[in-house]
Amino acid sequence: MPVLLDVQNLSVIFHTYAGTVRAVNNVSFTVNQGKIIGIVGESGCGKSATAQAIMGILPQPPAEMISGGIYLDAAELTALSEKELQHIRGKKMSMIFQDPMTALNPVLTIGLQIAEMFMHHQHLAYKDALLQAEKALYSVDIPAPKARLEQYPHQLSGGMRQRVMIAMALACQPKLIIADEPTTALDVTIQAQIIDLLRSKNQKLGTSIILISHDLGVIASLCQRVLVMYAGEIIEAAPAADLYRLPAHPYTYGLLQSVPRPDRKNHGLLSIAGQPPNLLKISSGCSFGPRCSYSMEICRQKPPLLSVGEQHATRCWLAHTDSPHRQMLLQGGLLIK
Amino acid sequence: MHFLIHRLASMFLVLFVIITATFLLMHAIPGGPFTTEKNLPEAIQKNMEERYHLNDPLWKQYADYLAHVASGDLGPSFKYENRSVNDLIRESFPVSAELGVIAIFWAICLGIPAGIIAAVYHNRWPDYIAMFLTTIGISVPGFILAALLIFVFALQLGWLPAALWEGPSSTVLPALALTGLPTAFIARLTRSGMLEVLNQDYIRTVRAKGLSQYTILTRHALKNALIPVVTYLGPLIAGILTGSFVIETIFAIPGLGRHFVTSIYNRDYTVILGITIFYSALLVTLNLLVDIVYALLDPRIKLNEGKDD
Repeated sequence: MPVLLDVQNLSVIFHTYAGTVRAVNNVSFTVNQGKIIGIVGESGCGKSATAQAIMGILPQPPAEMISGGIYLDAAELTALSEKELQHIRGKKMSMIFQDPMTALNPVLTIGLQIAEMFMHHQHLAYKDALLQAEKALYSVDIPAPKARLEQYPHQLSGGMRQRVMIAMALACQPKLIIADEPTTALDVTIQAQIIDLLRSKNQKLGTSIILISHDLGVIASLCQRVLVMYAGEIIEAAPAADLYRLPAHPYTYGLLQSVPRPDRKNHGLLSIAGQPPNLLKISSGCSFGPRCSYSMEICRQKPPLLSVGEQHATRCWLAHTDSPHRQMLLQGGLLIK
Repeated sequence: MHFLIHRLASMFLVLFVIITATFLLMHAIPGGPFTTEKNLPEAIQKNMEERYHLNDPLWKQYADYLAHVASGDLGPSFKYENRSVNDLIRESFPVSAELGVIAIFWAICLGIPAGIIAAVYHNRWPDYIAMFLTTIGISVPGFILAALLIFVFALQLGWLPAALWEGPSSTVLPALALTGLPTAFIARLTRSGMLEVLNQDYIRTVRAKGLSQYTILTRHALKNALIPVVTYLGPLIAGILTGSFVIETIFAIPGLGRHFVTSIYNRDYTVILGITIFYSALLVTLNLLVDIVYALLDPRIKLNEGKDD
């Protein structure tokens, strides 16, 4: 599978009143054509900043991309001008946002908001664009699409609005869709429908998807590959099946442990002790170190990304070839403890 | 339709209350239209009061006045002989209105773009310049601006007439003096509205769609940002159209604003009431228009409450 998106050493900082927040630190990953990769992590770990940096829609200021190369289809997005990017955004890659209640303009019709994709990227006249918009609504299973064109966002339910967002994102058949927590604001049955919709679009159109979520269940049901982010870094990258079976980073392990298990008795809600680090301060060691129950002397130094299997790497000293715990880790030892 | 009928009914109620309150307050002020420093012979005084029915009991005067107003007659002026209040308004309102329309036109044409530019270049030099100018616009009173304008453009440069109401060139300076405050206000409202809207999630969506900055501003942001401006425009238009006493006095313009103030000094009862009614009617009508424009700008605002589709 050829590489569609290649992100290299992406670093994003935010200039705030309190100081410089290091939101994304040296993040590198690739997305192959037709694949769905997931990015998981808790709030503020840099998932959304990474997504917005790829789209080139970081609010600048306060955000600033201090390093990194982003290549889509071998074109270097970071070298393009704003004008050139406007022809790639929405056409070759598009984005779905978390809250469909606020992501659509309340004073414009659904029809216009979808049609302007065709007007801008395919230079269609408004009338023709509206016809295309109707087809786009139809393709995301919205009933009575023609009537919807003249409606405003507040007249639709949350699930319908997210379908409208997906129709809009898919309008120009992009190669990549970044879905930033697309189901977080929806109730569970609607979540499942939206996930099914994304999966079917991925299978039918071959659209690659980056799915950002803090919901491990959603990620597991959709993604082939998962990146775990913590404090602006990718701390583990693995094929989805391996991540859930053999988590190789104590943080990933903690995340998996903290998923509520109502099927098990006497199993309280587990959490990871401590707080996420303050991103205003640069830590020279492992960013998870202060919360980690496996913490060692060497964790005061920044761990490199170490391979623990095929396509599976972790940023943890436990996985180092000199580490006495490496064998335990490779056999899923973290889960046994 | 239901909404309109409802609103029209409440407009008449508001006008009725205003008439009543003004009528009572006016008669509560000591003195009357024929009170002068010279002592008039009692017979003359009595005759004049008789002629204008001022010696009737107050409730009768009130009832008569209401009946007249209902038939569209605002009564005769007590001070300007042989002229009715209707004549007075008919003569002077067009002058005030012409001046007002020019001022409002400039306030909108300058204020809204200035606000947009300030918001787009938030915390950079275009924003600072715009905010500096609007602060001046808001804090410098119209009569000082008028005096400055007359000094520079009429006396020093001699480009424009200093006063009077003769032809298009004489409208320029008073309109400029009148437009300073509303321009500054509109610019500030537009700026703050824009800043708020540009931080909304849906603007991020539009950027992710690849649309140009121009489309984002004109199609997506402006309509949302103008709602507070429209709120301000209603009373502003009513106030400016009915004339500014200060500006009309400085430029010797025969507008409505002058009559309003002088009528109070003169206790010219019918003129006070007539202009008050006229101004109130204009204001409530414009407020109704503002509400209709709201509904056009924002589909979430429904005029027909309860009738959801």
